[in-house]
Amino acid sequence: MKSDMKRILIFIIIAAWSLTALGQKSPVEDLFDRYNGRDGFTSVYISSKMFSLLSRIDSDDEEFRNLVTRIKGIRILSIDSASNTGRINFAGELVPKLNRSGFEELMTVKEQHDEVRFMIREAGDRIAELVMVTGGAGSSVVWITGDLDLRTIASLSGTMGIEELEELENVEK
Amino acid sequence: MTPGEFREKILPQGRRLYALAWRYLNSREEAEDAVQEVMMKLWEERATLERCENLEAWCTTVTRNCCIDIVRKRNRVMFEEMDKIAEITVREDDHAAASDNTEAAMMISMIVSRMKEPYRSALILRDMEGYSYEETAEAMNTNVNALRATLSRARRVVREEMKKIYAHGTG
Amino acid sequence: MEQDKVRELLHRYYGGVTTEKEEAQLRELLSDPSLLSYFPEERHLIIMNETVPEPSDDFYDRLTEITHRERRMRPGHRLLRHAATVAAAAVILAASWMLLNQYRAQSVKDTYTDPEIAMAEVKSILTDVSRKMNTGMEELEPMRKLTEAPEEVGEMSRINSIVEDNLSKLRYLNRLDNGNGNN
Repeated sequence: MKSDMKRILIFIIIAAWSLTALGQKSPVEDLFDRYNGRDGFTSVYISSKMFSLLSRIDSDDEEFRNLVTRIKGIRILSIDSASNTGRINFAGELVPKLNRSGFEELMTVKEQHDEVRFMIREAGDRIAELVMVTGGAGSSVVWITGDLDLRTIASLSGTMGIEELEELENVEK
Repeated sequence: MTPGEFREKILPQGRRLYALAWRYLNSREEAEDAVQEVMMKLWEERATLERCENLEAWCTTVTRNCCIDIVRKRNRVMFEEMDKIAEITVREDDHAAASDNTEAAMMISMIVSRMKEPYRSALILRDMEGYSYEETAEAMNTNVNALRATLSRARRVVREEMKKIYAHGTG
Repeated sequence: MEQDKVRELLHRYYGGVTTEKEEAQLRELLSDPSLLSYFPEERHLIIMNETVPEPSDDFYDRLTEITHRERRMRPGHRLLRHAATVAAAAVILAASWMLLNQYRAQSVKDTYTDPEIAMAEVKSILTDVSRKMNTGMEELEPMRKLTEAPEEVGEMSRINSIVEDNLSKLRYLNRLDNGNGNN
């Protein structure tokens, strides 16, 4: 009888543990849930359902269509620059949590006064999640899930390569 | 055993088992509780009751064991009973012979309930409740010859005790 | 005559050798008050098997009630049932919590209902991400050149290896622009 009790207790613990693990929200989701709908915040949500519709839209850009087809969802949360929510820092709030839950920092980019961080979570050799956190006054978080192709994303801002981009910017300067 | 069979074969034993329990416990309430407890036990075990060859004897044994257990747990203080006896003796003087037999019966019950096993069970089953020698021996998990020896001694003890009470009551 | 018979039966009774029939006969004889008066010390014999008080009125009902009850659980089973209850409660709680979460997730509505507009928004978002990404690449470019130039290794190699460790994802970026204008 005692061993039965033990077995049941162990079962409960395992069941509870696995359920909480299953039910655990990702830190990004948590952040979105926290600020969604609050004054001074703007959020955009494009669901997997919408993406399944998007994949049916004809596009002359086959590469882009392929990219979109493999995306499952996009969520954006940004602080309205006019709002007095200046103390909120998405990067500070999110990055340590992401580091703890299997995300890796892809790179950090300094853009004017803002710092942009790219965090990715890999599943196998694919990128399953990409989080782009922009700090500063117009703090924002972009969260993309699916089977992400960085190369295609990178090529979106122009068909040019890095050197060419560099050249272009040099020209602009 | 189906619930129907249980109601047909076991429940009617209630009256008999109650009387038996009363002999051990000397209290209507306690005897009823004891039988109820026994019945619950039997009801739980009704699946195994089918294999039982002699249901009546088995019920007797279970009730006896249950009562002995209760008496053991009850841990009743001797003084309490002595007080009762004294009380009865006083009343005996008042009401003379009217309730004589009832009170004598109570005294016998008290003497018997204070006896040790197996003497108590032997007296209760055979002399008080009138079970046959075989039935008594079976319920007590002994043989008839041993039971007779036990009874012989128990009967003498009762007579000696009663003699003392009579002597006290009349003297 | 009868007194002798009683005496003999009493002797056998106390010796524990009477038959059931003889004991019945003994009680029968002693129930005669005139005969009992000769044996006052044996009065208890005819009282002994006097009827016990009747049980209370609802006694038999209570016994019958037992058979209508569900099989009562033994203490051990009760513990088991207790544990099972706790387990069930835990599962229900966890399940409802998950459902609530799911509900909350579902309660986030699509920002766009028109796929065309959504498509445009997606394109804009991805382009923005892409642009920022490429800005990063641009900054990293000189480093990439160093790591790719074996002839320049020398004393820079140590620094480069540190850089490489810290920016391990660089390789990924390098890979993605390999076929993309890398000359």
